[in-house]
Amino acid sequence: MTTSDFLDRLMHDASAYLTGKKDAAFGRYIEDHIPCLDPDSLLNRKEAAIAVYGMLREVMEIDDIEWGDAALLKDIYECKVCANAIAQVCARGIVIPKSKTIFGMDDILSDIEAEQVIMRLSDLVGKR
Amino acid sequence: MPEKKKTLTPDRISRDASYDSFDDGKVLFGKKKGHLPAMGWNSWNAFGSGNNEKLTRTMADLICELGLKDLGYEFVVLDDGCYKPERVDGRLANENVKFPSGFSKLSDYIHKKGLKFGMYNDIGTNLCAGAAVGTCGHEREDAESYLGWGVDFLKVDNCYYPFDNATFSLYENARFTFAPNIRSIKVDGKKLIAAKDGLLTGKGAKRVNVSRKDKKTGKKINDRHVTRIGTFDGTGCRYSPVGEMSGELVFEVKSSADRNAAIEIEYATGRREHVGEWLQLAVGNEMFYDDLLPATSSENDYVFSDPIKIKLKKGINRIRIMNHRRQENTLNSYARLLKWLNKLAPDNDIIYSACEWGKTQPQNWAYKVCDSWRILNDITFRVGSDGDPGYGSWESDYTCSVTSQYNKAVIMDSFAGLDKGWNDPDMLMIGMKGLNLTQNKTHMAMWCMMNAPLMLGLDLRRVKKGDALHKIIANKDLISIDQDPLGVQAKRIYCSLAASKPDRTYVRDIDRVDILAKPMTDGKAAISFINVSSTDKKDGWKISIKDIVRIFKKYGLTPDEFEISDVWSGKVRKIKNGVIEVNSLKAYENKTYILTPVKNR
Repeated sequence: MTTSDFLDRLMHDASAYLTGKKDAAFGRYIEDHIPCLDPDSLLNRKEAAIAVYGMLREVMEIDDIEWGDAALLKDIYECKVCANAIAQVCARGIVIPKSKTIFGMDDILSDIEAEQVIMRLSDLVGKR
Repeated sequence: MPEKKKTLTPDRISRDASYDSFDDGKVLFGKKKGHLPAMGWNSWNAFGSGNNEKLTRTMADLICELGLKDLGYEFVVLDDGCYKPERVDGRLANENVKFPSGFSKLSDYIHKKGLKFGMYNDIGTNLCAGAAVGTCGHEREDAESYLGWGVDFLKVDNCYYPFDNATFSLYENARFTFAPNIRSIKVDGKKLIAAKDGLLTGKGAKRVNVSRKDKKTGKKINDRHVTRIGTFDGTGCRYSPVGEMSGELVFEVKSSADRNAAIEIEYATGRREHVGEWLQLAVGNEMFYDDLLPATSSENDYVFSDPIKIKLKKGINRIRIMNHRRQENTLNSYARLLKWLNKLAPDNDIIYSACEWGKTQPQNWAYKVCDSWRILNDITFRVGSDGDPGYGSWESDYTCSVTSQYNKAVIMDSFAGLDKGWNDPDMLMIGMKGLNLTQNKTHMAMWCMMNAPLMLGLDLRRVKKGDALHKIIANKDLISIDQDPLGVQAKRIYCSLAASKPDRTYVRDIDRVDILAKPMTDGKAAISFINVSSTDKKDGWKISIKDIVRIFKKYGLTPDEFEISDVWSGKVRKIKNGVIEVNSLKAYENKTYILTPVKNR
């Protein structure tokens, strides 16, 4: 799945929550946190995490939770702009890290994995 | 985000920017010294990438309205997130939506308030948030831009750096910053075995003796070699910042006369932390080789280099096989921007803040080009935004807490000073969720005692004059400690977990009490009793004035009668029997005092 397709799916599934203002806020969040986004590139785990967190924060307006075991992911500390985004979506079980100690930022998600992320986000949103 | 592929190679390093010059105390390109730690506000902890022009102007207004400007807070710094993601005609450009008026107008606005304007960039190809506007290869035009915008302060990061395996850089860039594995050398045909005949100096280089199967013959062989010839990565909390940070392999070779000679190196290359492709070969302080070696097919396949010409002197010669490029490349890259700033505007006095997170042990070299240097990775990864104060921690296993930064900076006083610059334990988290009032007070006291830059990282709209947060960030006495003209970072004179050498022992266990002391102008001193732990302590601690005077005698302290003023309560009292005594400290609490000779009152 490309990054662009993933973002489109998130926006589509969140359409019930989207207002013009939230749409713009989500767009700005993505621009700020993935500034050189190549829409045709295949979705990697980091981009999935950033996009999902942007949705949680800017559209759903869900508060952050404690990092918990996500703090053990060593590679997220290399990304000052996305460490919290990754930790939040891992702590909520929406994006599954590569291992207990490695998130796997640049790993490309398969279509199935991307669909599972979308489904878990929907489940979380549905419970609200 | 993958690093953009460029055919860049590290510069030749001038002698005055080499490892052997680090202790000479000399600056490069006329870098001005004598600056006290910078004070101001930085957008990152407060608003992250979401900072904008309107928020920045509001913060500038509030710095004045809250009286912070009069206390010394002067720099208003735009951190990451303010540029367009790509250069425009090769130049940096403002992000239109967030900074519609452009940087010159914002700079003018800030200057008209009597404040100073700061910006952010990176020595790599991209900024940490990803924008492809790093200064690497653009130092001249970026210097022109910053001077044109009237910048007074530059914070420069280290992401996407092409000459080391820095954040978002290629892992393989370590090939520039580590020497290959070395098995032996031949000096005029005479073979010396690295693991047997070589000396390992400094720290980190390692002898290895492994048994493995030779790929060609299938037989078992003993592989003895020396590896890890390079510089420790200081980004994390694991290693002390004190002592040697690099390792060398040295052969002592005797010569009967001054003569030319040739040396061949038996080596195997890698492209990872600890094993690289770049060799530095020197005899004493004279460099004879400083470049990549041809790559071998693996780290286990050894070849001999072509002969390298060297000169030997009569007597014992120290042939040094090393790689100090981790430090030298980074110094050189920070120097490139400084060079252009000072060439284009020789009178500029831009404060230069190195933000390479301690990776290259900047405490050794950054004084040559910068005014302060970060010592670790970030203090928080949960920065705020408009409406969210962000989150700060008191303690953490990694760098993201007050105590992680403090634990390292507190034993780095020997690297700091007016003739050098300042250790930077990152921006203040006062005002963030996760820290209570006592922790915020001690966070401020720690930073002031350590002569750290005081960069506020909170949304100042949350502060009212005279409220609890204001009383902390506007504490005149604490600020006077940080900004004392003598410019001496406090020394840790007592640590309950380090009986000997409390000022040099790296302690990460926070269940302890520290006592810091620093000399100030006019015979004054500051002393701080700090309970770093989460439990109340009632052990009682005493420090005699005689001890403080003895430690700081060279700064003009004399054994006079002193009055001490409590920086938090303002109470002043005379010291009884020449002893300062604290009976108890609540969890996270600090008791900090300024000692003033009675004759000065």
